[in-house]
Amino acid sequence: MKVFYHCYGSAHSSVVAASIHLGLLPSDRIPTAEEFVKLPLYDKTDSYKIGYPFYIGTDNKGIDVFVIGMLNQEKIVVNALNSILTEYGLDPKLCLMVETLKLVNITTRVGGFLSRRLKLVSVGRPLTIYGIQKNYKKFIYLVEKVKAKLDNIL
Amino acid sequence: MAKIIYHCYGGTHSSIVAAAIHLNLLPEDRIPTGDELLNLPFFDKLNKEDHGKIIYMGTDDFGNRVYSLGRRNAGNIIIRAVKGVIKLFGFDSKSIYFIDTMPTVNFYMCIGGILSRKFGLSSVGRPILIYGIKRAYYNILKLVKTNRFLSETSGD
Repeated sequence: MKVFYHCYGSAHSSVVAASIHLGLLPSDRIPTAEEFVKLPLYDKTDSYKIGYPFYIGTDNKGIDVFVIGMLNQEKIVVNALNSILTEYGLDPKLCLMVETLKLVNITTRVGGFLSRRLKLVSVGRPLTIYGIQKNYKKFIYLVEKVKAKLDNIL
Repeated sequence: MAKIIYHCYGGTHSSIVAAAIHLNLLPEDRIPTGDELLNLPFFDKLNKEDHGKIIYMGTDDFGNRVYSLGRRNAGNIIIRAVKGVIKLFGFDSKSIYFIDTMPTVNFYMCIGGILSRKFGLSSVGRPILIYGIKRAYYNILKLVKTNRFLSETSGD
């Protein structure tokens, strides 16, 4: 079983959700800015790597956790992944796709654009962090729901 | 055996024609008629909801499976995602070939395709589309032949 947290560029919201899932970020309080920066993939993914699935870790139930960027084309990317898995004789249900883009607010969006697209990391990165901190409870809730869903499947 | 995926914007015109040439469903020595094109499976039939689906068209003489795919403008992302995920399951991503048919698409195919698929005006769009495909046919043929050679030589 594999979980893919997907967002626009696999640099911010998906990394945060995957990190909460794996316990790399706390689920009981809002983390500090340093805790975000320390994450291995946070605000790092370059545009030319978007689409490639990145392994973040394996949780205590043996589920592999990945992040993947799909720009704003998640429907067609998910369609493509489902059909290629079927072609290889695999059940698409082996991959749980979780969208995190809906948790991204305007602050994170602007920060992400500044940092990733325009390479203005010093301005953009703090903005992405501020935006995610404001929405952090929603991330915790999303991951809880995902874990509950996985418990049902397993 | 390889998997060969012809892809274009909507996955229902140039990629279907390319896959059909690859599978010998269309002639190599002349330009096909409009009816021959319209009788192809999935030709001018797929819609927005089908974008992203990798559609099996047939198996060629060498045992390679041939597909078409509509990927809008997300070709690169889909290629990375598909190859990346397949690798995670222990398969060799080098046995999947993605062949972009967009370079063969001309103005008439664009206009005809948009009229027929996006606006649902197939009676107006199809004749324009077919005119466009006939004009582009030898280019599509060349693209397929070049890549078919590649898949034959480096197939399994």
